[in-house]
Amino acid sequence: MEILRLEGIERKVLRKKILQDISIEVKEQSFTAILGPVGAGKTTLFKIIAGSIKPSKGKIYLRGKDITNLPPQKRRVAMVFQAFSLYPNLTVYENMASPLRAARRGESEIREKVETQAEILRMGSLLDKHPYELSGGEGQRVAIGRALVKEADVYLFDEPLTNLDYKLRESMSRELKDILTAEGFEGTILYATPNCEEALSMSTETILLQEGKVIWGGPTLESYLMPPCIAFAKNFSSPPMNLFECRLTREGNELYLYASKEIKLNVTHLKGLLHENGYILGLQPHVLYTEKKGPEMMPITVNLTLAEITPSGTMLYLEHEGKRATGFLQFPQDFKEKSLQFFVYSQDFFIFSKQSGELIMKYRSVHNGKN
Amino acid sequence: MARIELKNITYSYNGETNAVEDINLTFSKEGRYSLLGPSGCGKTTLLKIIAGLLSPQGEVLFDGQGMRDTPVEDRDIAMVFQFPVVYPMSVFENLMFPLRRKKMSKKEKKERVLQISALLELEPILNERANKLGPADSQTVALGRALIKGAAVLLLDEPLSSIEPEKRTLLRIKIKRIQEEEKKLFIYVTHDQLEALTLSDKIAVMNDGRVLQFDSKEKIYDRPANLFVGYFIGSPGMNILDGELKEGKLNFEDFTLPAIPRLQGYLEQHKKFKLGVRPEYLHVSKEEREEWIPFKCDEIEEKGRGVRILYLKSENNQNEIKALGTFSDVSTGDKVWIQFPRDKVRIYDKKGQQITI
Repeated sequence: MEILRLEGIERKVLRKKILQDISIEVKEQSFTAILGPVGAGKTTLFKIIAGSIKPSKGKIYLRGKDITNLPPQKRRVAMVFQAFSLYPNLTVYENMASPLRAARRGESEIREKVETQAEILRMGSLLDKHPYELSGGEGQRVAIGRALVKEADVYLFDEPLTNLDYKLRESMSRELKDILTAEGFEGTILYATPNCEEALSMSTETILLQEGKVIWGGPTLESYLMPPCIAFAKNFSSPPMNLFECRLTREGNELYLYASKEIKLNVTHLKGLLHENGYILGLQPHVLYTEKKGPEMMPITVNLTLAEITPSGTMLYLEHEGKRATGFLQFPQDFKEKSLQFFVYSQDFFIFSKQSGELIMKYRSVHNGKN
Repeated sequence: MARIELKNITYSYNGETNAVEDINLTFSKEGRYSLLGPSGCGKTTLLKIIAGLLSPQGEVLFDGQGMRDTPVEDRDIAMVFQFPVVYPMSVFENLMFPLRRKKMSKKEKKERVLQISALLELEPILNERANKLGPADSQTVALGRALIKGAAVLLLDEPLSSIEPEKRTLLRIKIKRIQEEEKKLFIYVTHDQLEALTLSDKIAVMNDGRVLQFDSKEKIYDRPANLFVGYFIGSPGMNILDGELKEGKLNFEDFTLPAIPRLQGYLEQHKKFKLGVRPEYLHVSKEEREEWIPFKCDEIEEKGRGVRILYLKSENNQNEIKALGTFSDVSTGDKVWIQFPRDKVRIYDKKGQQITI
C-alpha cells in the first residue's frame, strides 16, 4: 500500500528549477533511500514533504489525502536534519518533548513518550543534560529521538550521519537501522544520503535524484546487482563503475564490442540483440583481480594514479589507454609499481545502450549461453 | 635538515587536564607520517607544538637543536590548515606571496610558481581570484603556497576535512604527487584512517592525549598494540572477546580455542584476557569442520563492492562477532562454522595492551 505520493512536484527559485517533475510513490512501512550528490535537491524535496516550503507546481498526497496546502504542524511528518538543531537552552528531555508540547499533549503523556523513546535509543541517562554537554553522536541521537517522539506517518532523515566521524557513523548506521526496522515501529522512512553504501546497507527501495530530477527508483538490492541504467551504475557504486565506450566491429565472421585492444568482447552469438553502433561497457571496480585465476580471464593493463587504503579494502584510481578507471581490492594493499596488470572475467561486463543509457544485458559468452 | 624529535612533551591549555601527555616521537628525514586519532585526542595540539605555535613542557628538537627559542617563522616548516587560507588576490599572486622577500630574481620566482602550479594542476586558474574559488581549489592554492618556499617540513592539519567528499580523491592524488616530487618530511594530522594509510608510511595513533602506537602502517593494521588501535583502525574494527584460561584452554563461555603455548605462562598467572581478531581475517564455512566454532548468522549488511558484513552470535548468544568478506552463500539465520586463524589472533591484557612475550 502506498502511503505517500508526489505528483509532478516542481520547485523554482527565481528562474532556476531546483526540482522538476518529481512523481514518486512510497510504500507504507518501507525504508526508501533518496540517493543523490550535494545539490541534487534532496533537502528541498524533504522540506516540501514536511511543508516548510511550498512547491511551485504539483501535489502531495498522504494516505490518499491532498496535503499540499496543509501547514507543517498539521501533517503527520517528522524530520531529522543533517546539522541536528537542538534548542541549546533546553535539556535533552525538553528538546524531545518539544514536538509534543507544540501538539498540546498532556504532561503525563509527554513524560511517558519521551521516556519510552529515550529507553529505546539507550539515552535515558542523558535526559537531564544540555546539548553542549553531549558528544556529536549523542546529539544526533537526541535529534533522532525528538523526531521519533512525534507520532508521524512519514519520517524524513536528511543525511543524519553525514556530519559524524566514520567510527560513529559505523555504529549509528546499524543502530538506526535496528530502530527503524524493529517490530512495533510502524513509520515509513525516507532517508536522504549522498552515500550509496548507506543506501545499500539500510534501505529496501532507492530513488536516485540528480539535478532536481528522479533518474530511477526501485528495489535497492536488485538494482545494485543489475544496474538499470548508466546513471544508476555510476552513482550506486563507490568507487563508481567503470564505463568503457565501445563500438560494434566485424573481424571476418566474428562480431565484437571493441573498447580497446584488451577490452574486446565476442558478441557474434548476441548479434540479434545489438542493433546500435555505440555501446558502453560497464565493469564493477571490485571485479578487477590481481591474479589470473583461469585461462578465460582477460588481462587489462593500467597505470596507477592512487591507491586509497583502508583495512577493509583498497580503492585504485587507474588509467587504461588514457581513460580513467577504478578498481577495488578487498584487502589493504599498497603498490610500488605504477604500471599494473589486472584480470577480469568477460561475464562481469554489463552492456548499456550509448543512446538511451539503459542496460541491455549482462554479457554472457557462448559457453555460458549454452548452459 | 629535517629530523624532528619530541621528548617528554606535555601541554595543557587550562593548567588542569593535559591536551597531550608525555609524548616521545622521532620523525626522520623525508619520511611520511600521520598523527591519527578521534577529535580531541591531541593530534592538532601536537602539530602546533612542532610548528612552534604552542610552548610545551619537554623538548622539541630539529636536527638535534632545541627549538624552545626559535619562533614559527624561523623554523624550516610550512603549514596547511583545515580551512584553506587564501588571500583576496589572484592564484598567481597567492603563490608568489611567500617569495616576496626571497632573494631570487623575478624570473626565478616566476619559474618556481609555474613549476608548483604544474604539479598541482593550477595552471587553468592562475588568473582567477583565489577568494572566489570553491573549497577544493582554494585548498590546492593553500597547498601550493605552503610548498613554494621549499621548506623542509610540511605540516598538514586535516587538510581535506572541509572539502566536499567527491573532490577529496583529487586532492589526495595531488598530495601523493607532491610526496613523490618534493623531498620533504610530511606530518599529516587526520581522523580518517583512509588518509593515514594512503598518505603515510608510519602512523602515530593517538587517544586522550597519548600516543598508543607508533609503527609502520602494516603493523598498525596487522598487530595493533592496543585494543583502541584495533577498534579505531578498520571498519568494522577488530572483534574483541573476553576470555579466561580454563583447563589449559582459551575459554569464552560457550566455546573454547586451543591454548597459545607462547603465552601459557602469562595466562596461567593472570587467567583473564581479551582476544582481538579482525573481521576480515575470520574464515567462514557453511559445512561443519573440525575445530571450527559454530555460530549463527544474525544479520547481514551489504557493503557493496561484493563485500558483506556478517553479524554472528555464538551458540548460547554469549559472544558476538563480525566477519567481513564475500560470503555469497550465507543467508540470515544460517548456521556457520568459524575459524580463528592462529597467526591472526592477538591477545591483550585487561587494560587492552597486547601481551608480547
